[in-house]
Order: sequence, then C-alpha cells, then structure tokens
Amino acid sequence: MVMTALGTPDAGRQIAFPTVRGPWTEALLELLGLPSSKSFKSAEPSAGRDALEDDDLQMALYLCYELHYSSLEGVDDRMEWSPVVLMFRAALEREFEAALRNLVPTYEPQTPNIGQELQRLVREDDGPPLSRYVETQANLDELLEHVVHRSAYQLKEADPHSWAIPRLTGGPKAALVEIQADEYGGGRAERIHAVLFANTMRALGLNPRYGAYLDWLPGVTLATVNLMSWFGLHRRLRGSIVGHLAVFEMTSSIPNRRYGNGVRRLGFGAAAAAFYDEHVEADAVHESIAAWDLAHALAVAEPDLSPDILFGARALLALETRWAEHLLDSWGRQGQTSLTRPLDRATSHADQY
Amino acid sequence: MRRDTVLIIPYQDGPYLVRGPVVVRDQEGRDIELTRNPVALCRCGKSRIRPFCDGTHRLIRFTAPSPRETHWFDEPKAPAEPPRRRSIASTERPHRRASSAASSNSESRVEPSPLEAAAAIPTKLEPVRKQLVRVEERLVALLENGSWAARERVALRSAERLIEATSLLLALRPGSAGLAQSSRNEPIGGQTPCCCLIRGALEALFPAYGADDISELIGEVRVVLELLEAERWS
Repeated sequence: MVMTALGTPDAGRQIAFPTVRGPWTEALLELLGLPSSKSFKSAEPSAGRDALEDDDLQMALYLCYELHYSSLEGVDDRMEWSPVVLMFRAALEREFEAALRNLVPTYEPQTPNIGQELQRLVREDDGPPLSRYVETQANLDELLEHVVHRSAYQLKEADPHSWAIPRLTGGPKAALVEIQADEYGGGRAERIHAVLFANTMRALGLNPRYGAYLDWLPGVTLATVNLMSWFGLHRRLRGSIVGHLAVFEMTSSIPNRRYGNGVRRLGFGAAAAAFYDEHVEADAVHESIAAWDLAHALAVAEPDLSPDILFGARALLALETRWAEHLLDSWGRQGQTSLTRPLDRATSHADQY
Repeated sequence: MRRDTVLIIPYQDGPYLVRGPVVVRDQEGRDIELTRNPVALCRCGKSRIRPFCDGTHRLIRFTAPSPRETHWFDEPKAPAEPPRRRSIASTERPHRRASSAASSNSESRVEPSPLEAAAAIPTKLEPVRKQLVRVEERLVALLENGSWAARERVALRSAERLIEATSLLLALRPGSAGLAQSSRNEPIGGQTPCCCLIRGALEALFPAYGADDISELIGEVRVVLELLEAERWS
C-alpha cells in the first residue's frame, strides 16, 4: 500500500450521496436505489433557471459522473454502467450542452492556426480579477471558501483529462500523457497534485477527505467540473477536452502565483502554499505542451476537430468567468457566503461521513 | 532520437522546453535542482523563478518566434539597385537642400526621404522613427547656428551621416533594395554594416565634444541606437 502524505493508506475514493437539492437529485437518489430523503419535500423544477447555475441539476450531473471516479456509499458499483442511469445522465447532458452552446456559440476564428488562436483567446480574456483579490485582499473566510470551491476538482486533479488518452493517437497522445505523468507526480505518489491539494487543505484547517464538502458546492462551481467530465467521457468531444486542457494550463501559472501569495499573506507557511508554488512551475511547462504539442497538433492532424477545440477553450473561459464573478459578487456583499451555506458548520457536518 | 540526447525546443512567445538528461548549474558551480522533465527555462528574462519559467512571459506580452529568426541579410534578394545618396531632409526644407552636399538627386525625385519611407515601417519601430525625427530637428537647428568652431562642425556633420545611415536602416524592409542589398558585406563581429557605421561614428563623437548642445545631440543619437538594438537590428 502506498502511504500518501495524508498519512493514511490509499484506500480509494468513496463519497456519500449529499443532501437532496431538488427534483433532479431526488430522482437520481431513487434511481440509485438509495432510501429517499425524509427531510426533502418534492418541489417543482425551478422554471427558467439557468442550467449552468442550477444547484440541483449540476449536482445530479456531478453525481452521475462521480460513478466513474469513485464509489457511492450504499450504491452497487455496477450502477456506473446502468443504462437507466446513463439515460438519466443523457437528459442532464442535453440541458447542459444546450445551455453551453447558447453561452458559447460557434464562431469563425481569426486564424486556422489553432495554437495561435488559443493564445489570442487567453490574451484577450477579460475575466474578473479573482486571483488578484485573493492575493491582496481576501480575508481568511474568503480564502477557505475559495479552496473549498476548488476542491470539487483539485482532489481529483487531472482525472477528467485522462479520459481522453485512449481517444487520441500519435503526437497529441504522447503530449497528453507527458502532461498527465507530471500531474500524477512523475512516479512519486507524494507529488500527485491531488495529494498536494489535500495537504494544502489540511494545512489550512480544512477537511481534506474526498467529497467532504459536496453539500457546500453551488451549481456554478459544479458546472466547471462537469464541463471537464462531459468533455472527457465523450469521444465526440475529444477536441473539446484538449482545448479545455490547453487553456486551463495557459491560465494557471500567474493566478497560482497570486493564490500562493495570498496564502502567505494570511500567515500560512510553505506547507499550505506548496500546491500553488508547484503549479506555477509545472503549468509553465504544461502550457507549452498543451497549446502546441497537444491542441495545435490535434488540429493539424484532424482539422475537423478545430471548432471543438475552440469550443472547449471558450467554454472553460466562460464558466470560469461566471464562477469568479459569483465569488466576488458574494464576497462583495458583506458577510455573504459564496458557498451554499457558510463554512463554520463544517466540523459538525464532517462527522456524518 | 537517442534517450541521452538533450532536446531544446523554444516555443512561440514562450519558454525553452528542455528534455533529456541535462544539468543546470550556476556560475559558482552549484547544481540547480531540476524537479521535472521536461523543464521550462525562461526565455523572456522576466520570470521570478529564473532560470525556470513561471508564466510571466504572458503578462509582459513577450513575443518571439519558434524557428530561428531571419536576419535582414537572409531575406530573399530583390533586384539590385544602385545605392542612392539622399538628403535626409524632406523637400520642404529648402535651406537644407542648399547646404547639403548630398542632395544631388533629391530635387527631381518623387521618392520619399528616408524618414518618410521609415514612416511606413512596422509599428514596433515607431519609437525609433520618432526619435530620429527629434534628433534631425535638433541637428537642423544646430547647423543653422553659424558660430560653431571647425571641430564642432565636424561633429555635427558626423551626426548628420549617422542620422542618414540610421534612416536608411529603418527604411529597409525584408526584400527591399537599398544599402543592405548593395553592401552585401558580411556583418562585422555579428553586426550589420549600418550599425557598425553608427557605432563608429558614436565612438568618434562621444565624449570628445564638450559643447552641451552637441553632447545632448549625441545622447539622443545613442538613444536611437539603443532603440534599434532593442529591436534586434544589430
């Protein structure tokens, strides 16, 4: 068994089905054969609610994808490929895709050179200054909330992109594997990026256990992770997961430097900042490989995928912008949490899992 | 490629990616630990974790191609034209035309002066062009001052040649005819003939002449050279 820096043997992931949020999560609960939630009263689906921010829809989709990443307490592992669950998920994905295509319509790129177009998209992206805020102004509560939001992805960092490995060939495949090998510690378990993030959570006094904060995560956050899982798990969208990874890496180093500075400003030491410091250097390497050897090379090999690559890139930028805006808007209003509920209930809640 | 080959790839607008068994060592002999392979080494010069890349190149809008940069003398050859001696003044300066020894063919030609030609150059050489205009105006004003001693006059004439050479250099674009094509000289010590001319003139002028005006003029010409160097024309 591998002793990770968490101090426990690597026993694999398991989460508990979180609190039901609405008709979608209620339906999924029943589909999975779990006892129905006594505390939840069935509600009408909220009409006109933006699918990309719907807490209920996004959680249901997140849980459907979780069947591929981890086990669910009380749920047979075979449910991962249950046709009924897959049909349910397809219904959710239809809503998700429609909303995304509406948010990010196809466009004519300025150049067929996809590497260059990706650089332009990143250069001209005018997102809200979240990393700058965390670097210079965020208080401890806000920093902790930020980390809890990111834990939805970072505790399984790189896994959504790994789905694309068997769906690629040649140069792009080699490039993706090269990046992922680094994400997974280059052969050393204690350097797995997800482990580094768990260490950061622990150093900040947060519960590093996978899935501990599910109930706290709003739809706008879950959507950013669902985007990756949706792209990664569908071969037809392999262009999009590639474009997503390229822009993800290209927009990582500078913000992570700022987050690390914010962590230090709030009085934490190297243990808490290690995850961010590692990413400044790692993603400076990854962004070149991802933009050129992966995304650009894939567009050259399969030009028909170019629109998908750009869709993946732009969808990421669009959802990240919405997420960052949500955080800054919430914090801007005195004392308002950006999570579904404030964090100070964390300690008592964690005991349930 | 063998596993023990070190492969370095410069990325467009980005760092050097170095793959393979490589040692990075500071000049005091201490090895700099490499925690990953490939490793990204800073190319823009502004990383805060040099020699490693930290993404700062994106903040400063660093641009650099991936392939080897072509020098002006690598450009495909345009049909050769004889070098033209031009007045550095435009046709709107009659007093300059009268006093200049180099105005033999400026009167009857409609071709632009070097500075006007330089006005069509890419935007990133714009600071150089503006600086040249400033210097030329100052030079004109100084030359109109009749009280200069012979030695100072020599300095001003040298500065005039300098401006002329710089203007011609600026007016050169890939494939264009002119001083570059006709000289066909190999660069001396890695520098183009034009820049050697400029450097030589500067070395002669500075700091021999004490008159404040000329010193200032020389200072401004030095700025021109620095701007040109920054654009990698040397």
